[in-house]
Amino acid sequence: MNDNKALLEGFSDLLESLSSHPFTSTTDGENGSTAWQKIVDSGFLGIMANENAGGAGLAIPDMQAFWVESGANTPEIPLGLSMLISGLIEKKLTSETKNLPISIALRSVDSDENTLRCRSAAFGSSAEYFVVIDPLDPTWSPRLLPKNDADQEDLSLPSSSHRNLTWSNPHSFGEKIDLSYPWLEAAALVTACTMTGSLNRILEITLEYSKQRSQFGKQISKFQAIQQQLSVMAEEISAANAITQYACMESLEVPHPLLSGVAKARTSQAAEKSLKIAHAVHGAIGITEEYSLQRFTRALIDWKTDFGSESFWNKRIGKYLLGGQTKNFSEFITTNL
Amino acid sequence: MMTAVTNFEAKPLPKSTRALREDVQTFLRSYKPKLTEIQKAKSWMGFDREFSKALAKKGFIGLTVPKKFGGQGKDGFSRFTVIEELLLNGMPVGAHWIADRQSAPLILKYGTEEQKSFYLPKICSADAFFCIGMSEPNSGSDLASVRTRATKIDGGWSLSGQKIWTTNAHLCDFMIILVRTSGTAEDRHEGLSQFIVDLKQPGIDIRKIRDLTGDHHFNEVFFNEVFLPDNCLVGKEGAGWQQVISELAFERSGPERIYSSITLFDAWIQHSRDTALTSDAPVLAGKILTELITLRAMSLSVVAKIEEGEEPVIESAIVKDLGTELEQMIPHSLAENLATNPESVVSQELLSALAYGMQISPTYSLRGGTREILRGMIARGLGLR
Repeated sequence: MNDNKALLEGFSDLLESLSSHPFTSTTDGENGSTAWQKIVDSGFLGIMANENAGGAGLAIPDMQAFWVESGANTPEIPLGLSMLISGLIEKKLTSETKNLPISIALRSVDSDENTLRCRSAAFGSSAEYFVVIDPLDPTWSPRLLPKNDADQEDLSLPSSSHRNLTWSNPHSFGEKIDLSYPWLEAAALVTACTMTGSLNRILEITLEYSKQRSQFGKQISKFQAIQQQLSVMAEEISAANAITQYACMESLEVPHPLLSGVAKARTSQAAEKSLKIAHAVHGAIGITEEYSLQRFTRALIDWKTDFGSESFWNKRIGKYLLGGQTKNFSEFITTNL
Repeated sequence: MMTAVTNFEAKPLPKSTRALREDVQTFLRSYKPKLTEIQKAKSWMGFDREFSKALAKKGFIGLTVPKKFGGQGKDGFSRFTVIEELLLNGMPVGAHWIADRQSAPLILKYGTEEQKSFYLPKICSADAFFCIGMSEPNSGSDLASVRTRATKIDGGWSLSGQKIWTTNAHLCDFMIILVRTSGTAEDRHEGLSQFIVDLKQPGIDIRKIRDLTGDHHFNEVFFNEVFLPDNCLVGKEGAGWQQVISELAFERSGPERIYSSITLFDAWIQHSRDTALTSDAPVLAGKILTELITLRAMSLSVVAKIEEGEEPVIESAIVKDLGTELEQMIPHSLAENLATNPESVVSQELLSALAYGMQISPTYSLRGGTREILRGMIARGLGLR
């Protein structure tokens, strides 16, 4: 881990420089196009790729901090997922595609042999390519597909990063990715870490605001009602930091089959509680487009349901426990943790 | 670089603790008689002198106490492993619990050599059980306002006043008491000291208070000019407040703040498997499991900090607040699940244990520092106070 410290600091400095002003989205206009180019030029996209392919060969346990950092700075772009995908399928990527923002999209159940549908695709607005996976059928081979070939629908809500994507020509379904890999768990784990970064950021912004804002003649941070709420937020966010770190640490070769979902479920729960408190403390100013808070809370709202909601993962984990593989919690610990 | 406001660095249990866990499991398999679900649900409220003795014989008490004082000289992860396994099985560990958790570490940290040699071996062999004398009728959350006083006299101190909510005072041998030794209640954190009181001394009157389930664990304890020899003072005179804060870090950070409802969860899992699985059971099972795994990781991270000599006061407060919320949620949500699905017959034993859990669960966020006090501490950690 210590070897990566300098790398992490470099990554962090780069990301902080992308939003020269914290209120500027990393996808807006001129700032947006140069931001991605700076990331490409930095070489960080290949951080998980093999060292002999020019990457840094980082594994999941090393990556938690990098994914957290991307969530704290660039919630609009699929940086964490792009780093994961570049590491996994570097050989599939051409000189063109390896420098583009890539996300993961879930094949919808109403797809058939002529139509491939993905509903509410994560980073639908900012990604150029998608690895399409089937969340329910692990035997369906993932495909790498360009967004440009798909019909796009923006949910009539431009402020959501989700897009409905439909590829209607079977020939455009693209190349199969012959890699047996727990894609959904990986996407959930990366998203949980990215969410943790955004959560750390909204706590920072909210603490700062509570000390600046005065009402009834004193800083609102001095009111006990506000203090108790901010403590709850800090507790939730501590839980998110702890579980994502733990899940990544226990993911050696591949994402941990149970802990990745646990991390996503717990972080999604933390997000819902925390973003409500963050907005409550801010009042109306937090809702405005030009104030930074919403960059992170909007992303958190999208991510809460991306790659399996809280209850999706809880149901899976619960089924495992109730399935009888382990007799009780004590056995669960000794078998799985 | 963006840093989190709290630091819960992930530290899994070292692999070396596995053999120890198996030792505990083997020992517990030989334990008789079979506990009922209510007995299990009482867990560290259950007082069983013989069981504590048997544990001590196996070296499962005083794990972190140095060998020269009768302990095992092991690390905090070993202690975590043993108490986790005891709690997961709902064993009646209340007799030695306080002594093992906080009195021994306190004496080890602040006691004289004489005190260490006298008390620690007795704690490790389960021959000395301790209770905590902190709360008073007018000093609950505002602990610094205690009025019970020890006055210096020739050869020792004279103790007068009253403590309340003293768990198991009627069954214990010693109390570690926080009292005023100088100044007045208005002096707050100054002038407080800690003493070890032998509860068999004359001048002590212990009266029981029954709780809402009908159990007797709480007591009122009255002190009327009780003579305390000089060697009963723990640490420095007047340094009681700092010592108590350090003691409370031990009291708040352990797995007993996560696992108070764990045996109910296990019993409900068993029930759900044995009967037709309801459609809402998996989500609920997963929700509880998600919380448990997260809190266990957080609790282990706190153990690691204590091992490294830190005093993770804020982190302990966070684990306790989140942990007790889960402990309170479990019995209510399980009962809710069972009552939502009347098509399956629930055993009387599980129903009674759940009823007990629901009735007693408000105490989980009161004992050891209330939710609101903990959140105030966290707010201070966030720089808001």
